[in-house]
Amino acid sequence: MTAKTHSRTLDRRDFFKLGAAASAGAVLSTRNAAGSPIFEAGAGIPQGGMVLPANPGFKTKHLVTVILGNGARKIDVIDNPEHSPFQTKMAAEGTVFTEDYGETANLHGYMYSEVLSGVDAPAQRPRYPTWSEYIRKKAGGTATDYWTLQGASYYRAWTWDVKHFSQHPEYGVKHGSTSLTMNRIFYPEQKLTGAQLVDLNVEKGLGHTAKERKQVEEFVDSVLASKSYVPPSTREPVINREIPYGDAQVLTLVPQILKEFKPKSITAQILALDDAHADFGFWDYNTDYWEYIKHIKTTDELIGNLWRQIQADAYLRDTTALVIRPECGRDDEVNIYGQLGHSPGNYYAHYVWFMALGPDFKKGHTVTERVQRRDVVPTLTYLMSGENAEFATGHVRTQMFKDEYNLPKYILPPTAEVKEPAVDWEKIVEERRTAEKVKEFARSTVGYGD
Amino acid sequence: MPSQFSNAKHLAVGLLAAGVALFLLGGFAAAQEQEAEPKPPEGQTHPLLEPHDVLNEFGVISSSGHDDGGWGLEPELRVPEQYQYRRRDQQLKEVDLTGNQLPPILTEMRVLSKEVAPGDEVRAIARVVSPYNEAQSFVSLFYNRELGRAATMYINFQPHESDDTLFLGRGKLSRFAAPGRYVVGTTIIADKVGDRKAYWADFHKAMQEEDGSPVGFQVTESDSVDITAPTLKSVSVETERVRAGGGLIKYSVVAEDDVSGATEAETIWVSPSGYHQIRSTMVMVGGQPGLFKGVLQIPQWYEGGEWQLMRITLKDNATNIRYYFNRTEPMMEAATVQVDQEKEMVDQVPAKILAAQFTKKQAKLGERVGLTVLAEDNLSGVFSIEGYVRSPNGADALKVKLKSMTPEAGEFVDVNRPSKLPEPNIWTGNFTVTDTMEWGEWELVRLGVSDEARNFYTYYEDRDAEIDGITVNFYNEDTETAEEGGKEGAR
Repeated sequence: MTAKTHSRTLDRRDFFKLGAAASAGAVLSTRNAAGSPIFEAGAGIPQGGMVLPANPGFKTKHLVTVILGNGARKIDVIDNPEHSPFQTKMAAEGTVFTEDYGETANLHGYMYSEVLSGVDAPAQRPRYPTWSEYIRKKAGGTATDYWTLQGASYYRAWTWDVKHFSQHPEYGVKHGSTSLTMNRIFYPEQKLTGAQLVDLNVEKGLGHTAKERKQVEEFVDSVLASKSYVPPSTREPVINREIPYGDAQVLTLVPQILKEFKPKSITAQILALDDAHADFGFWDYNTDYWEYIKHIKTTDELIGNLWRQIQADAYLRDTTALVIRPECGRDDEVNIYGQLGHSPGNYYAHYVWFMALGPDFKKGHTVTERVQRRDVVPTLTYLMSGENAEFATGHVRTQMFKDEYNLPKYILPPTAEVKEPAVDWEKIVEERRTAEKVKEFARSTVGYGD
Repeated sequence: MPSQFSNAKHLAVGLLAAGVALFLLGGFAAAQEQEAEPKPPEGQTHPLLEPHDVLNEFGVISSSGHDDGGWGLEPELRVPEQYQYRRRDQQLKEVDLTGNQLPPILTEMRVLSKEVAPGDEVRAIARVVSPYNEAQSFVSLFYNRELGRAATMYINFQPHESDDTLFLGRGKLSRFAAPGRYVVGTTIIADKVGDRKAYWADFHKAMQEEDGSPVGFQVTESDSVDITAPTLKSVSVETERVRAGGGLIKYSVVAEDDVSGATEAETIWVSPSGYHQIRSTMVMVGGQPGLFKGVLQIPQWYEGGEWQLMRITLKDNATNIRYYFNRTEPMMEAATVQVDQEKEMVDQVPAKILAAQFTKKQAKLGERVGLTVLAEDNLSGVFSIEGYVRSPNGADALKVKLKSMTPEAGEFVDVNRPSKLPEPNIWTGNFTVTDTMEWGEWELVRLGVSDEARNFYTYYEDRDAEIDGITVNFYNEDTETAEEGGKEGAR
């Protein structure tokens, strides 16, 4: 499979060399030290081989991103009305990508970091900025405008509570988000106050003002007092173990945070889908494919609840986007031990779906064109800030945005076999100039313009 | 449950833990000097400081991924990892268990080869402490720091012959390796009874240089770098039609690789309903680089209809891998074969377990116990049976592979009793519980059975009556009599 190429192309090796240069701070020379584009005004926003309009004027003010962490297959969710009646119905309200590709299908710590940062770097802690960091730096806002929620800190060798900010020197904790870990804070035996819990659980470098910190503390107190962290009753009951219960708590708290703080971004990290093969090495766990299906059903209903609550709020309905993507898929076959792994080479492990609902996205739209896991970061960054994610190697999924935004055709970013088209900036600037001249001519001679 | 840990065990854990804790927590102490907060609430010993909790460099509680696996904690405080996933009110502590569930602990990792050329050997050493259940050989994964998972290598660590805690690591760098700095990402270390722990350079100081970066080595520049997997140029299927269990399907693939050359190709074929899949290894044709030929036969019990080439895997001499799927690769669309088969010959019904039993009700620690299973299959015959036997609290489990009592071809047959016929439906296996595992009532919790047509079914003790309540009691003869074995209470 090849993409349309321009006069000069970069192959994967060149691309990685550029990636190496990027890590040293020399990012394709598209931005200056202040973070502003250094190319000529009007040329657009560069993202890899694509150029996007500046100031797109999106309506989305609040973004909820649900990462179905540890992997789910499309045949168990978006293609399965029996297991996932809510999401399959919600698909009609937004855009669904059916062939969202990830080059790797194992090692969750790395794949999760890849989803969050748009870069394939072998570290559990993202080395490159996450979408929260990009958006916070570019669109502004305070620490309580950005949230990341997860059920547990640690699960089967993978660490989840360190993913809301990267180690990148230009970003990092000061651009991170307020991160809450359910099983450290919200449980019936909790004896500590909100102030103590925030003190012990929320990083001090996030830049909360005293007022914000107080607001978070009061929120935690209020959730504990009202027990609003307890997931609602669902048709498929929440599995009473720490990880699936934590997932349900996350999805229960998202609408509460949305209403209380009106944040720009909430990222919900779902973790328990790995129960599909989690008893490997953990014999106390009696988990397998059927437990995974139970969790899919529960999670589906809670996602449905979340979307219903957003739609029931007159303000949020017109300003909030919901994006859902699994970190990876899972194997084509359940194995003889009743386990469903996620191994390289399985179609359903590499190819997942991606669903986007919100005021800026097409409705009832299905995209069968192949896209890439690393696209998520630039897409969300562009949606929320109108700018690029300069270190991410994915592209913006322009297929999902409404036609009125006039976005360019999506180009598959460089993968193992796809080459990166080079951007001919001189040509683009010249075309823009010509277009401006035509408009100017039209205004001066006929008296109308756009 | 009362603690039965001896003072000696407490002392051993304590002394070991003290050393490990001093080593590992030194960095945290330094971090906390600068950041006095947070402090435990007045009058409490630090109620949030769970057994798996430590403070990270940002001054907040972080996860067990960062700590030492629990060595630094008394048995009354430590929650073995699998119980951390239970709800809080159901979690068990080390003190509640017999045996020993502490994982091996990595205290040091160093790469001795600081700079290597592509094709060279990389040497490293590691220190691993595991006094109860000796640590096993392990593998560490190293990545090119900038290229990520596109450029990896493995170092195998083997135990030193005389030094109990020393492991010697060796790895061969591909001669096509990309230049740059390679750093350790992860390693999982297990002991001989399966207690294990994952270690990450992100969190574990033992895997970090003094400046906090992951340990690693530098690879020098080379003219033959290859981090690009082969590409598929063409696919052709010579056979149009075959009979299940009969003729051969012949097909070929042409791959291209610019530097190291394509070396391996494998395919998966899928039946019309998707129920059956067959893997087929292809072989490269001598003198024709990139040309691979494959031959496969559809088993006699598989379904007929149009079979499709579903996946092609290509690998090059630098171990770069690429997958092609028929759903997204147009070149594979026409790669199909028509398979003729009678409906009554199609086997899609798994074998059944009729009964299962342990050969004993009680056994001493270290004594072998047999598992005997009676199974049947309607068409193709029973192919394999495997069981899982789990300890009383689920801290340990053993996989038991069973074998048919029908001798395999070439196997010695004792004809001392001519009346004894081979019994294809009787399957047997053995297992042994050692003193470092939990003792008490072990239970058969799963039994997986497959037939020759690779249909399979997994029986669960809480779902399927056929294996419900099958237990054997392992007792410690040093501390209890056979009669006491299996009783709840002091051990």
